Amino acid sequence: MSERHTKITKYQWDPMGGLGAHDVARRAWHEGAEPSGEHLLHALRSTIAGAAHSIYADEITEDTHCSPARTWSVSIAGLGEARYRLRCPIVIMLEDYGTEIVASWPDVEAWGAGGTEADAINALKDDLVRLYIELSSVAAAELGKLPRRWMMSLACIVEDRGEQSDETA
Amino acid sequence: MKPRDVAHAIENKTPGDEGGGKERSKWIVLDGKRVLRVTYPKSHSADIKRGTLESIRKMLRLDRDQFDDFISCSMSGSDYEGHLRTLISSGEL
Repeated sequence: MSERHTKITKYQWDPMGGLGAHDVARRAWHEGAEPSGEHLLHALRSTIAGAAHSIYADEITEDTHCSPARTWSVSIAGLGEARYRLRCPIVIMLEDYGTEIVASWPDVEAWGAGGTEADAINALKDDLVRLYIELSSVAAAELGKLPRRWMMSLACIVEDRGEQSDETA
Repeated sequence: MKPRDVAHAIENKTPGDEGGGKERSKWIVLDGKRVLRVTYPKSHSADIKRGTLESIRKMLRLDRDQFDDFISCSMSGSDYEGHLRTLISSGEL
């Protein structure tokens, strides 16, 4: 999920973020009265308007030069290799930078780039296979914290059908 | 940024072994353990595109200013190693 989407989700689900509704409820509490539904509704609207303003402000002040214009996800069911298969489909992330699309599987920090979605996905598949081969050839004791986790993730989803599968492909 | 500048910085400032393949990848090795892997394009004359640069930056665990310093020489190899050791001691790597 992109940083911007995270922010929007946070604001949408955090209506008490220091704005209207909380103030109305607190004032009513101090005055010994219960806030009316109408007041709370009005305050909630202010809260949402304030949050929307914050999001807009973030968008215009954030360094958008390096941020993708669009982020979405798709699932892939294979790795494009006869020898290496996916045991189950995985959800990958795609980022559109205008002149280039980047496909990634953040679980293992593998990525590939290309001019089209298909090129980027194919480059990612190549990187996933390469990473699996590289990690498989190293003893676990030689792997740091993250590469060990990457290997565990890849071992769960990649099936190595052995060298003979290359010949039968 | 040119691919050769990025490749030169990665190859000279990160400790570890360079891999092979269609794309270049390098394992960053500290104290005998592989801690990070960075993939970067083979040399072309054209500038590296933004998406690729961002992906390389994230793999190196650098913010944008640090990445500029890393490529432009003001961050040395030992500075980068110190940065990685800080991340390791904080439990991120």
